[in-house]
Amino acid sequence: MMPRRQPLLNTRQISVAAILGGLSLVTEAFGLSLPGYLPGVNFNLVGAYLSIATMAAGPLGGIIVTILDSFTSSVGFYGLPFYWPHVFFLALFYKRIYAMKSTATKLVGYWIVTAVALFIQYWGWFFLYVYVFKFATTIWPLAVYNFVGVIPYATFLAIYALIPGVVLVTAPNFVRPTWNFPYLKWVAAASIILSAIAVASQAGL
Amino acid sequence: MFLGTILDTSPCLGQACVVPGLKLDANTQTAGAVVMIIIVLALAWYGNRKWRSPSQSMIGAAPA
Repeated sequence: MMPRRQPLLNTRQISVAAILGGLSLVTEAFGLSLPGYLPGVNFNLVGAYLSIATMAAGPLGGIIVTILDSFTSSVGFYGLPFYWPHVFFLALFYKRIYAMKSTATKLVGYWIVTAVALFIQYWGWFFLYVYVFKFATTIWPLAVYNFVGVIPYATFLAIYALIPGVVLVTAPNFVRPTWNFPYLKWVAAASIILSAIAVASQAGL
Repeated sequence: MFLGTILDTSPCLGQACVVPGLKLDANTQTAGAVVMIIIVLALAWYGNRKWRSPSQSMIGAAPA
């Protein structure tokens, strides 16, 4: 008997990813952002769209959002692969978080996984800022500013986790992880390793 | 060269991103961001009600 072929995304998941990707594209194109200024921090909600799409439609949903975002993003398509370690890492742990019984545990788990995913993502962006945009000669001033300074990292974390966390506990059917992604563990590892190699090349060690 | 063309496609590359000829002021940008939050929450609310899993929608259904 022939094995039954499963589509990578169903209609609902494609719709959710397309809508959130569209919002992301419009957000970047019109510069729609919350009030506030902090060097190196973007106060728009692309991180929230990306997270919700990954929760509802899996890694491909998150990737669709990043592709649409890149058309109007100020870093263009250079930024595209550096979102993906976050997408894969969040997807890797999301089903376990979703299955947690207690709302408080679920929220804490979600924030912790997002915090780690964002920490991993940051290093790829440091590579981009040093190698492509020449904002610094090595990654270390950027790492100190964002991580030791705490506030830039915490601000981005809130953008990535606050609204998606609210959606997770108030609209669980919407973000139910019915998706599947082949070899997710290995793809996540590969994207993180590639990002680490890229950033190591700019570490000046 | 092809790769460079693809990478440099964004009209906003390396600059504050605005659609040419349509520069929004800060208040309008903030209002737009708030509208975006409302759209996302509305989408989640609607999706939570409408898009239930097949197993849930079958609960209580009459046998065929």
